Amino acid sequence: MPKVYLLPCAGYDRPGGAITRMVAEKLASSNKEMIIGSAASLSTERPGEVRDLLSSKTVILDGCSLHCATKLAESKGAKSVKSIEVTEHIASSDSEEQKVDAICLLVEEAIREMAVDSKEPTRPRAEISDSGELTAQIDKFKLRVREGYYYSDNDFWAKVEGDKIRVGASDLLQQMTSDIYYVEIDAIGKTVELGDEAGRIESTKTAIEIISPVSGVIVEHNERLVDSPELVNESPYDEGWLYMMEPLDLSELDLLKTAGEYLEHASERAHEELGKKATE
Amino acid sequence: MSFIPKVGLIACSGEECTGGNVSRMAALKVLHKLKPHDTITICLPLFLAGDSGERGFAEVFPTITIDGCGKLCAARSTAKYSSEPAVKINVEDYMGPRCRGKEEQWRVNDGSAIVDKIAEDVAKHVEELRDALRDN
Amino acid sequence: MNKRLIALTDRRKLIVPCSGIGKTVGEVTREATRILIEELRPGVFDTVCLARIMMDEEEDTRELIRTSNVITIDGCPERCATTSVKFAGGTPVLEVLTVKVLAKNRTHRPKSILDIGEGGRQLARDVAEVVIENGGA
Repeated sequence: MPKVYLLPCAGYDRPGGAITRMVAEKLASSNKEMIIGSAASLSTERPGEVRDLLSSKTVILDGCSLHCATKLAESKGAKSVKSIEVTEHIASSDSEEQKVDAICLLVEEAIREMAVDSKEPTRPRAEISDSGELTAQIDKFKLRVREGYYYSDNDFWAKVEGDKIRVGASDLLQQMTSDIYYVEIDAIGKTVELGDEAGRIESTKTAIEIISPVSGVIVEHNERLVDSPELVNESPYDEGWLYMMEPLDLSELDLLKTAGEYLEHASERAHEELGKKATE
Repeated sequence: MSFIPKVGLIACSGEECTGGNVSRMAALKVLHKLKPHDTITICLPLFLAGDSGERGFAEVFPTITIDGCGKLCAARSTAKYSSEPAVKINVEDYMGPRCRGKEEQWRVNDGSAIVDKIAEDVAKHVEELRDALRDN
Repeated sequence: MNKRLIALTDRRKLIVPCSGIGKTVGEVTREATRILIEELRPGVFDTVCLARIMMDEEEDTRELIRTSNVITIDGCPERCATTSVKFAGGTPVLEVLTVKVLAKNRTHRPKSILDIGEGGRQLARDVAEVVIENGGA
């Protein structure tokens, strides 16, 4: 179970603010894994505070319906957040002790739910960007997987366009290979089978074969790669595509991974491969 | 705790003087030999040329800056463009004004023992930072 | 602006490599700079710390960049050196991108950042020659 970052709003001008602070103090005294966040420190981004927030499961206690603490945490990039607005769960007739106990139970329940979530072998937390890409952060690397494309275990993608298939390298592949300075594609008219070599890529780090993700006839090259092979690095899903094919068997796409499946696969590889230093 | 951030090492790599070269050599030694699995780096100028990912770097990773002289360009740039470094190393503290000379601007010779000493100290800081994060 | 920097401005051209520490080509840019300053054109070229250029309160450095003939040598398309020089108000008279030079000399691939190897040394020399051939000196 990851550590828990509990952020009480602690607002003095709201009825629930004081309760959030008392709940935080009570829970912190019995749970050494818990970090009590400070809204003021988070606001000024005191060293370590944002890091604690981003590296923890976060429970937020808002003292009123303005949800200041939740908004603050989200503005600092918090993910996996559970927010509890205390005034929704306490009665004004309750004693202060009853109010605190009630909220403590809710927080503990939220933490248990997070523990269950974190044990499930789910895919890595992904976000969907404006460009329709799934993204995951792996150390300092941001991994991008484009929705609507099909992906091979060799890290090439295939995209259906009418009766043709466009082929390219995935973002993971371009990050693993580093700066690409040469791309060579097999001749137009050549038939390649799924898994066959269809050309080669050379980079400052390695030289790899282009493994065709589907079977078909090569009908077009991306001519821009002759002078600008770096487009594969800069724009792997758009301008950096490799070649177009007339497919021989569209059912082969069923053998490939969807974006979500590939993100899970790619994230595991990224943990192993990206940032490797021995060969850099 | 399932996620213990690596420690980010940022060297000034200053081209003008011995200290800059020493900072780079020390950082590379920690990154590739002493603590390859616990450290990560980015090029300092990527704070300017890169995207928000680089500037968000020090918010996710505690950082150690290694500067070649008292100007502390790496420490100041990291603080300015990303976040305050956890540890600031100044080569001048190890080799005095010699770091501002050009004798070992490109090749470290006599300074190799100092590179080793700085790298060892940085590696200790890496361990301490990781331990602190583990204990949290 | 101090006297030393004025003197440099008057008589020398500045080479600004990216010195990238995360990629092998960053080390190649550094070696190319050394070759130009120490071997090919001693006394003609000088360099300035890229990290100093990033500091916008370093007015002396910015003035030097603005008033010199600056040649940038970048390792990868991120073009950190060029971006930093422009940030400081300078306009490079020549921008060399190492991976583009490598594309024309594909056997000169660097080995690793700790030891760029014979390929890397040849690539650094290729880069230095591009600077000379394009009017760098």
